[in-house]
Amino acid sequence: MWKGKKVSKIQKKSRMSLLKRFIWYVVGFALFFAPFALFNRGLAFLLDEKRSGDIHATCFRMPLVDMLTGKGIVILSVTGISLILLLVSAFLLGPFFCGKLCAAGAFTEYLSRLLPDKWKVDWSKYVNPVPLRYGFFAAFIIGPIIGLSLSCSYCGYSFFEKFTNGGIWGDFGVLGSTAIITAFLWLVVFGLFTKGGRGYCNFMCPVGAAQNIVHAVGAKLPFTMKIKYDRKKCVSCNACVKDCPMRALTQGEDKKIQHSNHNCITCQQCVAVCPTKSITYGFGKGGWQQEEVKPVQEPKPVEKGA
Amino acid sequence: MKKRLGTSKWTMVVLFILMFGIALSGGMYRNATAEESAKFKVTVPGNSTKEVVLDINEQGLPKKLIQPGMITISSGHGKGNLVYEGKKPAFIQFKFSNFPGKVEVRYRGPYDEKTGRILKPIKPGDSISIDFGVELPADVRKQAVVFIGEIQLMDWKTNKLIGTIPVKIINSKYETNTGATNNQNDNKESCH
Repeated sequence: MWKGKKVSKIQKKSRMSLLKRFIWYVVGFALFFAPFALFNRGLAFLLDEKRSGDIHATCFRMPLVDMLTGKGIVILSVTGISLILLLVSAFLLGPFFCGKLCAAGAFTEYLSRLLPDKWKVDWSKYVNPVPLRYGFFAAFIIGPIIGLSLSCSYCGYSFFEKFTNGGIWGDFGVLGSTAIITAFLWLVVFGLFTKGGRGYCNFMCPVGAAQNIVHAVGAKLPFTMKIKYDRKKCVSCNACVKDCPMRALTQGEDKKIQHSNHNCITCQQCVAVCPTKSITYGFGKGGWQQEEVKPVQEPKPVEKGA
Repeated sequence: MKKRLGTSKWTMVVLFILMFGIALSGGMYRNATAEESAKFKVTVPGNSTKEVVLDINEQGLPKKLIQPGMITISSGHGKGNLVYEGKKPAFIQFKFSNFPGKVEVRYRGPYDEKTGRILKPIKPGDSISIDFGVELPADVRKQAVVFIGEIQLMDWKTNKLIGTIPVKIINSKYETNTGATNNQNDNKESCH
């Protein structure tokens, strides 16, 4: 925990970044979640559409299922425009919604920071989350077609809204078995007790997975924004790896930093903590695939009594 | 860092299929516990011809452990199944006849909890989406027939009844082989 420990420069930068991101997430909460849902309500008002003033108005499942079942999608509708904005922003900026606006994902991330690291599991140490999240996403897409819909029962957004609209005070309303399972996974197992606090985002969020597929394609192009890396500047201090909430950055035995566009949410926490500015966010090439440069040797530990 | 699972192509494929299967199993579980919530469809003016029946013994284990005493009677998500086909706009008010506990109405619009009134008139041809969260006290849950009640839809401007939804909540756990119920014993238990 922070208390009683000397705070390093990197930790200070990390906290400052968390604070800045927090402001974004508050904006995201006001835009998409009840009781405010300003984006949903505003768009519905502009389109003269009757939509609920909560997260359901921008549901990701409904337009996808409508498309896949041949019903089609109305582009000029709240769900249609939301879906397009989500995918276009992911293509051009990376998963902008996840990294800046998703208060549900942020909630568990911030919550997990309240616990000491020794109590948390770093799932990414044991398993690569990417095939798991895409497996879940595939089931999310195919499930409704074969009568096995995963939403809204396992929807983290819906539960987060229930939680913030009364749940904090003990009034969750009526909960089904699947909502209880979701709460347990989202909040406890993959939230509080997961390093980074974004286990649910990593394994079970179809919205994030869809954005990452789009981002992985977009990041190959020079005119899109992405997390960039300059190996020459990197001192392999590992600060970015430790602070990445999605565990999208890893360090191999050879100390090389690796990055995955398949689960990076471009929250830029790594950019903020990097002491040598070797990680940046911007246009151009990513730089992750370039020739490796040998990392700087770690300083020898100071001997006791020296 | 030790080599983690899912870094080679084969293990990635295996993990993908594994998670795909787990997620679909989640969908199957969701279908298996769909009976936790009762759905209704009603067109007013008029009465629902189909009684809403819910068996609380069909609840999944998490529900039984965490929140067995709250059930939902719902018109479903999206476009609601409470359709108004009157000629003039209706000012709908809900009344709950013979319900054993509190009823919490979840309506995404202006609604007065105290009076049970939807404050904005419902236009002819409109449909609304509404959920009724019904509290079932522990004593009544231990009966074969938990309760038989009715949701009454009134027009609070004219004070006329414009529709009803009959509701029957049962608990099959307490049904005997002969079809008789052991209410008496359970009622005795609940008195303590």
